[in-house]
Amino acid sequence: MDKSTPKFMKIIFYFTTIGYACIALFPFFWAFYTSLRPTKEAYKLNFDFSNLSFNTYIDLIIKNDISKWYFNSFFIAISVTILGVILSTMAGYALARINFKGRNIVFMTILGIMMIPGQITMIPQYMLLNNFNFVNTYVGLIIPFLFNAFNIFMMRQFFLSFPVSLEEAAEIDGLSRKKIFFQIALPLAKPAVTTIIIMSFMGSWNNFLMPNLLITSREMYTLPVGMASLNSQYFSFPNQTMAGAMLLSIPMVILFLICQRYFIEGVTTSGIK
Amino acid sequence: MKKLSFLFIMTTLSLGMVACSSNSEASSDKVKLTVATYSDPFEVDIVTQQAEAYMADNPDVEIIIEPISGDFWEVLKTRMVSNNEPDIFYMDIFQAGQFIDAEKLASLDDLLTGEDLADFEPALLNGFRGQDEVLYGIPKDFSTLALYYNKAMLAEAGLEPPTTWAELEKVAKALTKDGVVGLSLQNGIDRAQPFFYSNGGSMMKDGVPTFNDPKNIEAYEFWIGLIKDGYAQTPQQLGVGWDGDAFASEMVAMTIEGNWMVNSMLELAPDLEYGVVPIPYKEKPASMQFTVAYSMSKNTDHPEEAKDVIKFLTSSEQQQIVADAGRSMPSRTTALEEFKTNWPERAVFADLAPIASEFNYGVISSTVVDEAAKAMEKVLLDDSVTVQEAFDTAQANIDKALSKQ
Amino acid sequence: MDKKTQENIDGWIMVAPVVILMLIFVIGPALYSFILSFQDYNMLKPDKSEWILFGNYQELLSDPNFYQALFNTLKYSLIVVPVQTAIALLLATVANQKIKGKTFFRVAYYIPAVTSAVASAAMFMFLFNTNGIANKFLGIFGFQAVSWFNDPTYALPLAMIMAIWSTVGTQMLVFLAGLQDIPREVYEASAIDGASSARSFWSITVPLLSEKTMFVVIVGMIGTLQMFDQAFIISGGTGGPLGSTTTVVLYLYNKAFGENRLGYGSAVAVGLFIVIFTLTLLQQSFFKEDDDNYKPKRLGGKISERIAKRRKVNG
Repeated sequence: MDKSTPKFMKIIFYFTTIGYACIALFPFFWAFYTSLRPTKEAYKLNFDFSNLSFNTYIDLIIKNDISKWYFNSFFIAISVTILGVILSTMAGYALARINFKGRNIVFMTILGIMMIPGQITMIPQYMLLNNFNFVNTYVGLIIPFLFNAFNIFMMRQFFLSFPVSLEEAAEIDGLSRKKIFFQIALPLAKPAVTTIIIMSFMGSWNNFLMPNLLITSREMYTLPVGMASLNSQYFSFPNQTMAGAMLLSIPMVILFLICQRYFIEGVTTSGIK
Repeated sequence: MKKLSFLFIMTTLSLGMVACSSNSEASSDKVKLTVATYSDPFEVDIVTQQAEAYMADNPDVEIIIEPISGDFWEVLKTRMVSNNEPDIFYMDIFQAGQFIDAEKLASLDDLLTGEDLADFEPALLNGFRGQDEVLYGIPKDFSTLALYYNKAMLAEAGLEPPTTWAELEKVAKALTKDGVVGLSLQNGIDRAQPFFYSNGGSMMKDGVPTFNDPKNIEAYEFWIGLIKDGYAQTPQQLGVGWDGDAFASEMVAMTIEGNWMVNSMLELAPDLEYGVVPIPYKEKPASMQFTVAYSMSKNTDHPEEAKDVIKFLTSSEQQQIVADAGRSMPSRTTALEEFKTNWPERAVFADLAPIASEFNYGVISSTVVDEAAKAMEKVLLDDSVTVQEAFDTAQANIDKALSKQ
Repeated sequence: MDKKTQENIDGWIMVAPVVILMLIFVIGPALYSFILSFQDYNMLKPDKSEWILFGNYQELLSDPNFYQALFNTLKYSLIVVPVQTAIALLLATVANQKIKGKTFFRVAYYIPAVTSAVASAAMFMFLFNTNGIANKFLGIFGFQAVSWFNDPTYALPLAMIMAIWSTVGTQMLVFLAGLQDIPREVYEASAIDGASSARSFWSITVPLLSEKTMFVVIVGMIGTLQMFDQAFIISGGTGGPLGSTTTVVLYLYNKAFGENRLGYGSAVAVGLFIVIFTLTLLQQSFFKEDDDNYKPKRLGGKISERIAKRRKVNG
């Protein structure tokens, strides 16, 4: 959008951008609104702002050990993110940039893994983790999730389009591979790393299937497992479900708000140190 | 960044060690028993309270409650494959067949004396007996289905609650006016089955599902007729999540639901005046039961202790707690009497126990329910398909699935 | 040590941690499932399992329900992937502009990605109810109100809308990160040459994002072909109405966990794997890229060299 853009183009541009923003935000808004309604109105499909309150949230927080669930979720998600991102970035770099023997096999295997539906490997995975005594432990909820094929694949794709000349120059300067990676490649990959940080965190934060198998006590509940535990056998009320969904998503929104600052339009030479 | 990650690796590992070591400690010589329950806090609180009472009397036993979130059966089966299932777990009548057939459950035959056994409604015990008549689960509570009706709407039209199919059709027709639909019907086997049995049909014969029994087909023709004539609608057609919502918001005058809806009505529409009567019948009155029992794993290291815990959890004394809680109904007749005194408006559900058919279709229960749902959906959505055709197709699929077991 | 050996060592050191984790936690269980696919393995009766070799596969290939599931899944994937990729790319371009309220737009576009499946399903129930807002809105344009959840014609499209709505945010993120690699100078240069915004989008943005687009398309394809959540929620697990939302993974799940037939479920998984793998292979351009890994694309190469030079000067 620069000054030369015709006015009607600008109008169309803003109309669509704002339009899609509404489409994207409305359901979130609806969930929040439902969570504030009293139970007997929560099923109704209308707008009535007269008796909204935070009672559902207060109820949820008082009756359950939500702070403990938050702690577990944060602890696991932070550990998985930090360790997983380092491993994925390294592997992604090697797969894109280093011509080592077996590289294609490793990459194809990683790609292939994404094609196996998790619902079927869940059982043998559980058998394995059970043998490792990983059931109901933090280690069991972190270590197996450090391998993330999507993140490796994504980092590889990003490093593929990196300027080769930079590395060549560094190699001529006699920098080791380790130094090239840490001092040149990694700082340049900031936007990509930010993306996989968000994606790893989100993946771990929302992870349900395996944690639900592995966690057997209330003290170990992560947020999604804890929230799922509140669903009663026959029904649960939408205002409670929505309040739970809000408590689950808000930390992610905040994380995104913090991280999105690293997406700055275009690489500017002044930004490189 | 590097330092930070190092710190995290260390904390993670050390915490993990702590968790591991505390697991493997087992320093006390107490017998540890795990009990898996549904995760709903209401359930967990009751069982926790009961477990504490037991542990107070039996200091050498430690009961660990393991609430299972999400899909209880998926988790239980996965843990069974790894031989890591809990010692004691909930067993739904709907799921029991496959576990009994696979010999995953321990016999509980010697747990109850004849006198004790007589205290249970026989209909509730049947679903937990194997082909060999051995008992593999002791019912802890149950629910049944009945007809809810809106008192004001019926009174206004000068109508009495229906007792027969003919009356049901008449009342539903009369009440379908001014934007209100007579009846809300969830189009599935778990609501329609009482009509099958009332018409002399059945879902199981010699341990094999008999979905396309002619009597079932006839009964379902009546059911679907109500919907196609417009006197009844499904919650989906009404645009709501379930029957309770339609009934509470007075979109419908009647619905067929279980006793759990009494509790949701307290939340959804505390001021709505409604009554509950048995489901209208044709040849004979019928309802349907949803029973949950305690079962014991065949793999348990401490069968005697586990049996004793089950005995305690299903004792008359503990059944009183279920009766007082007022959600599901206690499975012992004595406690059920207590329940009826405590909650007179729910007595009708309790009285239906003897005539309630089982929500249980043997080893492939969930396939039967899925196939029934598909068949019923087909009849509802596609006018060119007859009930006979749809039910026959479903039966063929059920038979095929059964042959693969 | 020669360069080749050094590269082998460096490469393996960097991939070793993930390869080890992968072998233990993923490949092991996957191979186990693969072996099970040749057995008649009942989850509750593992002792009674028998080797039946290709029996499960034969059954799979003769089951019309599987073909229906496969057809639904392919249809779903074929529509969802291009649409979500296009929308994600457009949103990323917008969210990368210097416009008022940029942060707001970024957060707004990303929010569907963080909303839990349960919450979004409930919201879609509300929006796409027979008497809901979506029908009212479409009514303005003369569309008849439809029962989205109960009509076999509309249930799968609804699942598509849900999927697109909820995944576009994450993919926008990938593109947004990709756009950071494109130096502003390139756009400035093309603006001087008199290119319109639309033209520079097609001639600069799209080609320079090719690796990221590949990522988004392949991941999108894999994700859609494994579609489960939306179908499960819309149909309550049955794949209805009239089988219109039965997907391969839902079919697999019901066989494995409903009928306890883990062996057969594994065969379905292998079948799906083969389908996805073939489709990925068909993305020829993706595999062509391997040949010139070390020669960045023409345009990108020139630009990056220029930038690299500048950086050297500045650094």
